[in-house]
Amino acid sequence: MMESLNPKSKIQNPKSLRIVVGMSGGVDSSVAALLLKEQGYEVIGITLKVWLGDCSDTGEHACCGPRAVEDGRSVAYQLGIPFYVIDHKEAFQENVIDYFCNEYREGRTPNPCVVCNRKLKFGSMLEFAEKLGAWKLATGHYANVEEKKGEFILRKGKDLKKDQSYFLYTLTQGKLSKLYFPLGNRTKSESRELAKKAGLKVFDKSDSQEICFVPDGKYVNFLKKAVPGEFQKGPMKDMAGNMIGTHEGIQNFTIGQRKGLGIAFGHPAYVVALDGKTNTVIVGEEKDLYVSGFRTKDTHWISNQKPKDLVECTVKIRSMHEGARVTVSFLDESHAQVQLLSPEKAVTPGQAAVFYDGDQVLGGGFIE
Amino acid sequence: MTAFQFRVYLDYNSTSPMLLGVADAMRPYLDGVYGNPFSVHGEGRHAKQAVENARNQVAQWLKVRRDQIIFTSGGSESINTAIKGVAFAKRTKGKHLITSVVEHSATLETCHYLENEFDFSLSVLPVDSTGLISLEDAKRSITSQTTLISLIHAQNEIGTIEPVEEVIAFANEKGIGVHLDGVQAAGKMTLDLRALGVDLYSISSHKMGGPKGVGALYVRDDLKIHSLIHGAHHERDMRAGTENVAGIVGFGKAAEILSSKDPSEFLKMEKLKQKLCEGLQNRIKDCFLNGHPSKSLPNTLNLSFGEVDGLALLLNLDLEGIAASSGSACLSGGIEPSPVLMALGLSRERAQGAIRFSLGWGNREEDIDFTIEKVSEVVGRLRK
Repeated sequence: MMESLNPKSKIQNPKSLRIVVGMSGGVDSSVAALLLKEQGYEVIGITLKVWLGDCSDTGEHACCGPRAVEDGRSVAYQLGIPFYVIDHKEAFQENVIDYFCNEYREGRTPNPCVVCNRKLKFGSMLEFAEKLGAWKLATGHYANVEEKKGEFILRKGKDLKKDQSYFLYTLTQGKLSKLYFPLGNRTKSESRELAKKAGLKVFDKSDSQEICFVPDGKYVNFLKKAVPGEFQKGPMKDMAGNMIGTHEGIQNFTIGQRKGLGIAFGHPAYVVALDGKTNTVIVGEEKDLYVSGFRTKDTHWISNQKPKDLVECTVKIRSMHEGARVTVSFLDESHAQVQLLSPEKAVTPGQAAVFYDGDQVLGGGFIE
Repeated sequence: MTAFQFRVYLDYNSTSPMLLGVADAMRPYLDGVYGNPFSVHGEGRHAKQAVENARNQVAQWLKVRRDQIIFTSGGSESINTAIKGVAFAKRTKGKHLITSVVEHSATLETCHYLENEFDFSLSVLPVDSTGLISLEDAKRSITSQTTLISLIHAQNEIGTIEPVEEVIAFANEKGIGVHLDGVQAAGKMTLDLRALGVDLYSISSHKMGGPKGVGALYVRDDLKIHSLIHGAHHERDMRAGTENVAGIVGFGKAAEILSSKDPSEFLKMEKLKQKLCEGLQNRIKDCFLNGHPSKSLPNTLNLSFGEVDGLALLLNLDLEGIAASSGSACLSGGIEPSPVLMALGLSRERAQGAIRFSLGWGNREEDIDFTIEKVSEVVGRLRK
């Protein structure tokens, strides 16, 4: 007979604790569930149903489609664990899809995974896991949580090629205390191997793409379908403010883009800035892409001790960025000034700047 | 679910385990008697005999003649056949249908389909806060064009038993057909369709201890309706397709078992339900009954727990070993509150916090004690 578990009274016997695993139907979360089951926890799988209407035909690359739910269900059945689908499509639309469309309209390049993690996976899903009496919520993220002197620390995953700590910088002390990443010290190929050994049919499923609702990577097509009325023609200007052409919608561009400008220049030309207020695309040369500093907003610091002084650390200005040395100083509750020790190319408003000390995530914010 | 877990099944309105003896009755027809009841040879005659025997069993249970029973694939098909069958057969007389707001989606969706695709007009009767329709509303809705009134006999989510006798009496006077969705009533109350005087009655086998994939439609013999599934001349030309012999045999056996049951069995079920209701209301603050306090199925108890997320409660109960439901199973998984509960005038919060416990013949006192204990525990934790 299973009992409702109070973590405080049962902490001596961690193996009888209840853990909820967020299962996307992919290899990673399936292996996370497998490992926890093997460790003897009471494991419960849940999947967030987030797709809306026309996203339902997405292929195997997407982690939000009906096929993902079916794969999750089937793995859970194979592992002999309960599995529930929680419908969060409205919250996903409001918090992720609407944000995604608005950011592009305003000339920024959004990071929907960061927002989804904050509001859905480690927002409503975490709350739901607590309602199910879970001691922890586990996911298949490649990252590590550590407790040190009463504080929780977020670290990169051991597999640096797969490390997902960048997308998790919004986690708070309260949330980290309830999270468990069983794959943090494993590599992707180890995970696949484990899945194969356990006979999980998802073992060779291809990796999910960065944006689950844009499985083909063509975000412009997604926007044209989702918000066709928001594409407005506008001016294209050079660095000096001279009109050099028109564009078919600011959403078609990101900072550093070279292709699809529709104009022939005498030199290689890049999008160097996007002004959402005036719907202007500004084009320049490669050298114009370099900046020596930027500001972040909604800046979050994982430790309870927000720094009062300048902090020297490394920043990743996009998920695949190799990192650059910076100093960070908070300007107010939300904003921070980031100074680059040497100029960086294509610092893109809307993307997350995530601060690291070695493999420890210090915090991050959205580039303004 | 762990291998040794003690489970309490309180979701008989979704589906029921088969009554003891039903599987045994079916076995020879799953593996052995394979003939087509339509064939002239010995194999066919054997199968035909089995189907007709089952028809007898179902007819006797419902107190009607055997040639008034049509076998279908289940409750939804029976309801579709009844409503579309009458609507199309009588379309030259009129194109107005009456139903209610607390119908199962099989009825509502069928009516809306006729409304949207075939220009029928539709009146949807409201209900009071206990889920009852009123005869006055039904009377007022009737026009010279009305050909059919389709009502749920006993409501699947809240158990409210509708005042169908009054509606039938009035409709008979006016020469308007009445179809009842008896999917939930069957097996949970004594049925006498002849005395009831109804024109069509839909039944699903798996809600009353028979197998899934089979059902029946009672059609008064002088009523001509269109077939939903066209083909050969099966089932008095009202349902083409080779019979699901094993399913029909199991359905017949379940009907036979129910016929021999004493009506006091319903009282026993009612007592367990009352025990559950009182036990929960004594232990838990802000525990509200949804539905009618007395005009209700003896097995169906729908409760809302103030400030408790119904889905979280339902899933916690599953983890504790209790199978219940949040409204209709067809809608589960969604966060939309049940339209039936909303029709009673409940707030969104109360509708979203609703849990349906539907008991059956397999439940014992200890199941109810266990459930009271676990629900109190989980509600207490969720309210913290």
